[in-house]
Amino acid sequence: MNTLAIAWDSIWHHRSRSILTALGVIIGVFAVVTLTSLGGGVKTFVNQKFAGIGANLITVSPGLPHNHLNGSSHHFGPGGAKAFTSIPSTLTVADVKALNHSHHRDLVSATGIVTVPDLITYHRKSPSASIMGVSSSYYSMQHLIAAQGSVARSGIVLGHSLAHSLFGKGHALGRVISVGSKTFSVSGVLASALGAPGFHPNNTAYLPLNTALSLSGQRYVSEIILAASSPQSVAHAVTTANHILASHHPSHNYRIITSQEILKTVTNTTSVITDFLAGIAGISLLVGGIGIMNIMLVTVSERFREIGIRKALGARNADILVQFLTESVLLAVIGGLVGTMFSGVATHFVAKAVGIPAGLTVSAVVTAVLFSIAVGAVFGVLPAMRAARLMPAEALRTE
Amino acid sequence: MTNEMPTMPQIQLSNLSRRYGEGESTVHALRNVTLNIKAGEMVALMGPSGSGKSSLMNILGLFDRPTGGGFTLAGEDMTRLTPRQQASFRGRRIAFVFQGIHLLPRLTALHNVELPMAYARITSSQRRRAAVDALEQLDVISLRDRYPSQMSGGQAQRVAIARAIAPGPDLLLADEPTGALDRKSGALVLGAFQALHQQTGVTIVLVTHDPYVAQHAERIVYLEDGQLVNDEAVTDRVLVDSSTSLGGSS
Repeated sequence: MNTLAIAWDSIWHHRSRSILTALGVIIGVFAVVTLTSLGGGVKTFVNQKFAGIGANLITVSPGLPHNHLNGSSHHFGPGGAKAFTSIPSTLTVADVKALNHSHHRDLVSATGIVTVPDLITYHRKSPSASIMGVSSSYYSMQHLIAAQGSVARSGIVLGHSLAHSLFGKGHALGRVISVGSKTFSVSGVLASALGAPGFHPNNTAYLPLNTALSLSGQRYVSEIILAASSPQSVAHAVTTANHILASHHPSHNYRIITSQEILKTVTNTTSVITDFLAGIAGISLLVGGIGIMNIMLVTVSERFREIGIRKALGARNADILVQFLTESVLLAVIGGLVGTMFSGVATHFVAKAVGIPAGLTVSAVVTAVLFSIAVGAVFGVLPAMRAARLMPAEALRTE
Repeated sequence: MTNEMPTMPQIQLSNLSRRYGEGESTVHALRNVTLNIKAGEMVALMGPSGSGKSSLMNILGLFDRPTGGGFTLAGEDMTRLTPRQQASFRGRRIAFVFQGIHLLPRLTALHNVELPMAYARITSSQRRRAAVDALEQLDVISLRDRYPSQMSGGQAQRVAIARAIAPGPDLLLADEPTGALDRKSGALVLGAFQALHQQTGVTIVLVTHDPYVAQHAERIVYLEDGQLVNDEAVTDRVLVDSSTSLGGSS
């Protein structure tokens, strides 16, 4: 009879009690592994879907002049946070033109973007969609393709779901919709697209940049989007863009953010949320461990006589300690493995339903098992030490 | 058995004392008990409850330490053993048979008998051989794969005796070994002790309150109020016919 067999025998003998005890660990491990796996899936999803599209894009947005930022170069730091909103843009169509004519091999194209604060109306339907003025190069930058019509004409181009909410299954091309006080005929409908982080291409209407500027009475563009020739040349393109823009904006009142930085922020945020949730789930694992300790303490007092017999037969304190510790660790590991299995099933279905590539990872399983071992060991030590210290000579003398 | 000098007693207790508590409430469980038991003796230890039998058994079984006096087993001082050394003596050199039988319920007879040798880190082939020998010696080899719940009380107690003797102990301590058995099974068990004693020459200390059971030993020691009050050889020893004990089919 080796130690493991003895431990298993004891667990098996008290099956229902063991299941209830392990349940705490099952739930704890299930929660931790599921949340970690789903979080990892979201991260992978974000990386896979957005990185490919937007990895070579650079955004120039209005910023506070450099001397206002106290030298801080953090775009998302305390200085930069203010810069997100309510900074009047000073970026102009001339800037866009200058960037477009850089003739630098790393800087392929530039487009201004202007947001039009108006509503789209068609037959008293006014879906909440954003309206943007863009240059024609914008579509290729964002990998937006026309499903109907063309993006090159002078009318309005609608995102996939926007067109659907306006016209249902009906034909969209040529229909006239109003934006504010003006009317435009639909010249193109985009195919469904994912878009780079921060963009919702399916629920946006696009107008030519100059049309949009005059429609909203604005002199400045909201943002400039640049495309580098490849994700690897982004750094060079940023340098070039900076050089060109600095000559137009000596006060340096703009910020340059690469898609990779945005992606990093999104990924980091996801990680923080995942860790936070896993931490909360870890509390249930703690409760599970306390359950094990509780039951093991009961087991020790129940098996007072068995401990006495074993000691009378020459078991050392260490033998008894190992025996009870093995039992609690085995119980926790069984709980951990069952929890991981449930988690695998749950993750699979949730991932399928939500559409993210999540699944059990080797590291999640290994972590779960190691955690279970730790829980079993930590919470098994006290009962096992109590068992080992017993000297129940008296228990043997009475029947 | 062991190679001690013939003149040296197997068990030597000199002025052995055991006190519990301090000051006013001190209980003297054992007072200056001096007792020598030679190798191969079969001694019955008698006395009313509270006489100190249990205290003496606990000290002999290395479950407890004396507060005064000496205790040597085969010339070795037992009062200075570390807990680890005590554990290695228990089960292997000092073996027990209890009133309550105390076989582990979820182990077969064979595994129960092997257990003390497993704790003594004896290799599995050696302990298997010793266990089978012991079960044969107690005529319970047919029970080797049975669980305690599938045995009668007498059978279980003989498996327990086999478990005690399998490692070849210097001393076999039997604490009311027939206390839980009916008269017929009790006789079989006492016969088993006698046969074992005769065949292997193991030293046996038999604790009992039953004068009839004590008559099966060679010598009876009486304890009263923690003191040794009488020590006499048994003149009219009861001998169980070994053909009905070890050969019997209980």
